[in-house]
Amino acid sequence: MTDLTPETPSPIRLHKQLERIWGTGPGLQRLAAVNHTVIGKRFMITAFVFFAIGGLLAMLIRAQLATPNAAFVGPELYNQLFSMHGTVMMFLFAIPMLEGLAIYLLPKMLGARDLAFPRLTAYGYWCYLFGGTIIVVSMLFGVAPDSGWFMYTPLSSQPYTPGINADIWLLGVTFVEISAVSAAIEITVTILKLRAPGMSLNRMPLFAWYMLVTALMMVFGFPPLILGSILLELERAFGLPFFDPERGGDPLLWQHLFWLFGHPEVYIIFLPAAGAISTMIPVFAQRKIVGYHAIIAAIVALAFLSFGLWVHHMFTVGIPHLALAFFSAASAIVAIPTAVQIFAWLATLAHGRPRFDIPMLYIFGFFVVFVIGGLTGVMLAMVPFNQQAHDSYFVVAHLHYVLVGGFVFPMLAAVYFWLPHITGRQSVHRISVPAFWLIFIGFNLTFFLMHLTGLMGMPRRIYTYPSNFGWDWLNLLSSVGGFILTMGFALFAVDLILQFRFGRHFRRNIWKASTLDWAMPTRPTSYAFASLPKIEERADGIDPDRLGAELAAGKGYLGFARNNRMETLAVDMTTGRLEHLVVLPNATYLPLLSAGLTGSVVLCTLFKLYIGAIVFAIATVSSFFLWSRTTGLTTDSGPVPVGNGEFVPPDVEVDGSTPWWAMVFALSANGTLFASLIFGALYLWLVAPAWPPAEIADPGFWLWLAPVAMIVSSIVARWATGINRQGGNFAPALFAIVIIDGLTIVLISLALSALPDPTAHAHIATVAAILGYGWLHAAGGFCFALNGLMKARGGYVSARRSLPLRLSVLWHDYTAVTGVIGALLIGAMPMLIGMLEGVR
Amino acid sequence: MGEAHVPANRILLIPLGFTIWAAAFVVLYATNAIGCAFEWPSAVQRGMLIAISLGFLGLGGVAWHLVHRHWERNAKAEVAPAPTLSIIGIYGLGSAFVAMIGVAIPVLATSMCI
Repeated sequence: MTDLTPETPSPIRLHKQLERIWGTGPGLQRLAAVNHTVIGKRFMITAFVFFAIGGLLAMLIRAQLATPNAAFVGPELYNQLFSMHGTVMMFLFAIPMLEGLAIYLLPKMLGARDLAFPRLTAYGYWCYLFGGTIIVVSMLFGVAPDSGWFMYTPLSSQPYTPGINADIWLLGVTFVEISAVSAAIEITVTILKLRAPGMSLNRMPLFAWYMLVTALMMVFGFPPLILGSILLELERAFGLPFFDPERGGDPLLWQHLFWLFGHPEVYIIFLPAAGAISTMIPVFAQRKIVGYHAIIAAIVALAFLSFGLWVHHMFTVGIPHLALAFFSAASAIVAIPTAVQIFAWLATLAHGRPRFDIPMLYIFGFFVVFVIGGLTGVMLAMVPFNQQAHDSYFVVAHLHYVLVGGFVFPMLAAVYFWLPHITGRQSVHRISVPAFWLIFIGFNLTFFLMHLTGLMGMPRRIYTYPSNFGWDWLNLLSSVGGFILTMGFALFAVDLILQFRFGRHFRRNIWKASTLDWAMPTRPTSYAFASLPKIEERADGIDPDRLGAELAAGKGYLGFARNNRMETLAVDMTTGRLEHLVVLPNATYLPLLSAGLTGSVVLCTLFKLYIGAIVFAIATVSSFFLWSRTTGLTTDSGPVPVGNGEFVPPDVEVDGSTPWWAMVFALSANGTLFASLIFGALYLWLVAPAWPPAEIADPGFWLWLAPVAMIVSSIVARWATGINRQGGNFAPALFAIVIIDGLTIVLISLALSALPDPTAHAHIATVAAILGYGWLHAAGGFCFALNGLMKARGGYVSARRSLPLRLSVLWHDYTAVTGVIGALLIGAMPMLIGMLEGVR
Repeated sequence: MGEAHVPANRILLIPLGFTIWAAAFVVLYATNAIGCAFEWPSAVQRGMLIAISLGFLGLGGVAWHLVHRHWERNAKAEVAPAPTLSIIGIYGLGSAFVAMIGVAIPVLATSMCI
């Protein structure tokens, strides 16, 4: 092998060459941006805009509640206000904000030039923007969601919410969730694969550990809500009675699906903020974090335990006593790993030489507010207290202490910490200090008093109250506190604008931090690193000043521009050993196009234009084919030089490439959705009223033919890959898959048509849903096989370059497994229903 | 770069303890729900739940013992990040074991159904 490493040009020339490749063009070309720095900033700015909208809604709520018997807004509008406040803050501010921070920071902290799937990042952003806009614009037309941010049935069911208010929530939030899950998959794969060479897992900075766990929680936590939203929309639009107790459904199924998502969501929001704190505290304590290993174990414990708490939101609905005890115990235990982190941070400060600056002020606010929220959380974990405080303002106080303490205060600290990184300027104004005190005092005045109003019996979500209950002064003071809080945020916004406009320029590493994100120019260049570092120690203890200068001079890996391609490196997941070269796609309008088409599907569904929705769904899938059309190489390349005398193969020629792992995690999310569907079917069978059904759903022998066809398709997909590995002609095998998958679609359609009316009973509706799931996956397999054929025809597949075929194998294997499980469950339902005779 | 290899599945040591905890939690909750729905006698249900709890505690204990023994024997010989993964795995198994006890204790005394 001869060394054909391109020469490293001068730093200025290298900068110009890389900027030409990685940069985002001016004007309309900005819409084609896929760069993580650009998209990360867009996520954060958009999230802050939604935060301002959510805050405005909160002010309207507080204005209404400031005095008894107020007529500032009526009950209908008030319902929209609190529903939208919760929805905007949770779905349009908190999650996108953490995603934006992760998108902006992760490649820089890991020593990569970008995330693993830049087009997916851009697609996720556009989905978020369009979905969020749909939800917010609905307010202007007076049709905003009004059933609470939790959308409980039967309040949100068709008879009680006949307008499109609930549909906007269900479709808009699902749209935004697509963005969140796609970001989660991207973050997971990026952390596992796109680290700098040498960055083994034990050298990874804590922020990356936090984000890895958070992203995996999103992969497994969001699908239950997506499923719940789909089922509720199916009930609202087509009458399938999943949540209707008169027809075998159960409103509590919605609560289970919602809180299966909803409680982990709290930790999904908290963990990235804790990751930011774990990054900032060592900088200001001027020593390494205490308890690195213990913190990682605590994060993992927190992630798992958070999935075992969801029923503590349902302690009053009537579930078995022992189950209450299980969830009560788990809810109390979760405080322990949280405390481990808090003590680790305090120990870091205690053993360091703390210096105080604005971020530390907000971290102080975090400690106070979050610990209070955590303690009231332990109170609420106790069933007797919970049953007393349930649906009272005590819970409102608790959740705001947890969410604002656990997310907003750390995010404000993070903004002050990383804003110089984003803007290249440091603050010269001291407005941030009074802004902090206004926020801190305003927050505590608003929400601490709500503990008292709650304990005095004030229920949540009431639009007004009489004046003889003793709540008047507490509510008035809460409202005053709310306006003080708003003034604090206004001052914070002014401070940011001033820093953007008038802040002093600085050279590098303003805080003397020890992580890789500061080993680059600030503001960061589009390519992040002119050359990629080799990591030889824990990545939260490096010297960015020395390393940054070396990397800018091109002394690391890939210190050159080659063939106008966006290149970065992938490593072995565990050891961080250099593994392969990743060629990323250039800027393109395709993510915008695909998101626009996806948005059109949502809008058509919203307005019940189902033919249009189908047309746009086909167009969306077709647009994804365009993404894939030119991805990859048309000739075998073999190992290529990447600098430092090393050679690695390109990503399309290795087995464990990033798209393969992305498919694994996408199918994991999909599997969670399927498991939630199975849970739903069994839950209704076991618990729901109006069972057993009058009629059994029997799809006939089509039911058994479909999984057989799925298994055959999976075997043929493997066969095609085997033929390709031996250099043979695999096209006939792919044609066979297309035909078998087409046949599977027909078989499942026949099974569906053999069912009784699915609106008659939830049993038939769940069978139809499971069959529909299989139908969609057979159609997906059909698309994968077509994509394989298309890629083969374009010359993108060879014995070495087999990714399209291996992705198809993964999909078909998954389809076969879920198809068999689904068929077995449907086949077993008559027996299970028979078991109910005499019991129900 | 070094030639040493640590297989990707070693990462699974990290969530091992709480995966066992989660399985125990789901099985206990599901058994309780089924028992209440089918009106199993309280003593039968309690006996089953105690057996399930002990089974999972035993499984957690065995897993902790195996990982700990492996770490003690091989910690010095293994390359990074294998020792780190083992340490975090041991922490996780230990804390999951305690969490399992915490969740299982109500099985001994709490009334079963509504």
